[in-house]
Amino acid sequence: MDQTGSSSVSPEAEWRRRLASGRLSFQRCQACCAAIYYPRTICIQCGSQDLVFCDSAGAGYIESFTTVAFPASHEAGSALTLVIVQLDEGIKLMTRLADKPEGDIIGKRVILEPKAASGEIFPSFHIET
Amino acid sequence: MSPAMLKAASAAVGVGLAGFPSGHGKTHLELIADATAAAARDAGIPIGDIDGIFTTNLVNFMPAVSVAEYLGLNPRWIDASNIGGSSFVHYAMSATLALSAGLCDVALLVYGSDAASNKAPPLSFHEPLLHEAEFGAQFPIAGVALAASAHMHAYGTTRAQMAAVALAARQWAALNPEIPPLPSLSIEEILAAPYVARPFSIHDCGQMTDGAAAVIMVARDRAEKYRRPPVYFLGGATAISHRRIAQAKSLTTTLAAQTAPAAFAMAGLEPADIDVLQLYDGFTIYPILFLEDLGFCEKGKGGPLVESGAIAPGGRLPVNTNGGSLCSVHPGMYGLFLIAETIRQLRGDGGAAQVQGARFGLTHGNGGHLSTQSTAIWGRQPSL
Repeated sequence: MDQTGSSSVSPEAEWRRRLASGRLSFQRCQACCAAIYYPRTICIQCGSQDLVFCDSAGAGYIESFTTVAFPASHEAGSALTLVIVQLDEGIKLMTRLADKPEGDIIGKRVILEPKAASGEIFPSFHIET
Repeated sequence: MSPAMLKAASAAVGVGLAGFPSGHGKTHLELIADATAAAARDAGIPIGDIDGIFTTNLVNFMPAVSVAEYLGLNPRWIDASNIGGSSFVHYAMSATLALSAGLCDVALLVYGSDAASNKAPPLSFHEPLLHEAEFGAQFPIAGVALAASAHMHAYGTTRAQMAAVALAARQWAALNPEIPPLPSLSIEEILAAPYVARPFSIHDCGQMTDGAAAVIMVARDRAEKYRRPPVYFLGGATAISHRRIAQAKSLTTTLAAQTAPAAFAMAGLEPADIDVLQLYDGFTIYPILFLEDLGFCEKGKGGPLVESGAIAPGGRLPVNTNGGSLCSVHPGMYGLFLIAETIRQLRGDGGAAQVQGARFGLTHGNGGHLSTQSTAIWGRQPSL
């Protein structure tokens, strides 16, 4: 029996390699054009294994948010804001918001922080001004 | 063969609870045995007659194996599927299937935990959720908070409406002699409490306790042979949505919208037929979401419904009549306690919390952060 698969490379490892160089990537299915996130070896729309990596332009909007008062493994008194961002390319992801939210920020446009500016957490986003 | 053949194909004939809010140092397996023995006594069934085991927990890598060994059982059939807290509602249908196929004759559904006393992190914490955990959030609280924020934005649901869920649970808990009295709490105090994860304060979250529950089920043809009146399984359905909250297709509509129509169709009932509801309430937004998605109100109107007092004692739609996991027991996975309370109500054993004349009850379980949903419908008799 043939061992089949999209390639011999782990998409997870490839995604992290690209992330380390400051690129927020997702996959595009060559068979049905679906945008896939997180990286996989199979298309969750059509089952094809013909997926290619693309870089996101890093723009989207906030689908939801929460501010966690006592985050795991953080200094006392700190808080962090988690957001689910819907990117313009048609994928959504869990990420962190660099700004402190004021009121309901759902629907606000956000931009990817450049890796150099985002510290240890990449990807993170800031609200478009 | 069709799913409808499972309607009233089984019944719960024994129920036992143990070790909550404190197990006083007993291990989860010790509490499991206590609850099992109580359920067997309740039914009048020798423990050795149990030949089907339906169990999972937060500790054991092979839960059914550890439980069978501890209880000294040699089961003919097991199901240890782990879909989180809803697993036990799912087992109601799984057990019905096994009982009606003759794969086992006496099914034990059992759960136990010493999660409050024993601070060792549960097994589930050893699995980091790649692409979400690295952002520093604790789950499930952060995932459910994201769903709650989205519901507030989409439908105008308020913190006061979520607080109404917490207060109704407290009112029911005051009628439950099995739990210690809780200090009084006002809506003003709830709204003034700081966020743990916006929009939740500590009062929106079930607090971890110890505890165990066991339910014994048999096939319909022998349901009337035991010590207490049977409670029939009438319909059920289970669905899986996501493991990671950002993978949820919707943050505001749960897969209860999928399980409820299937469960009601199997039972031949509709929401108006249900007299008493037990809805997984690890967080106050859950009953609001589930009342909407199960069909007890229009989508988006769950907030006003709970604020009206309908779910509290004396209301027209009694929900979580034991005090729920918010105020009675939340030992990590709450699902089996939903069934135990449904049995108590449909037998008429509810005491001060009894819903008069209750004939049909609905249990709805959740696992993860709205990740899995399982509905089961129960009746005092096999049909309308």
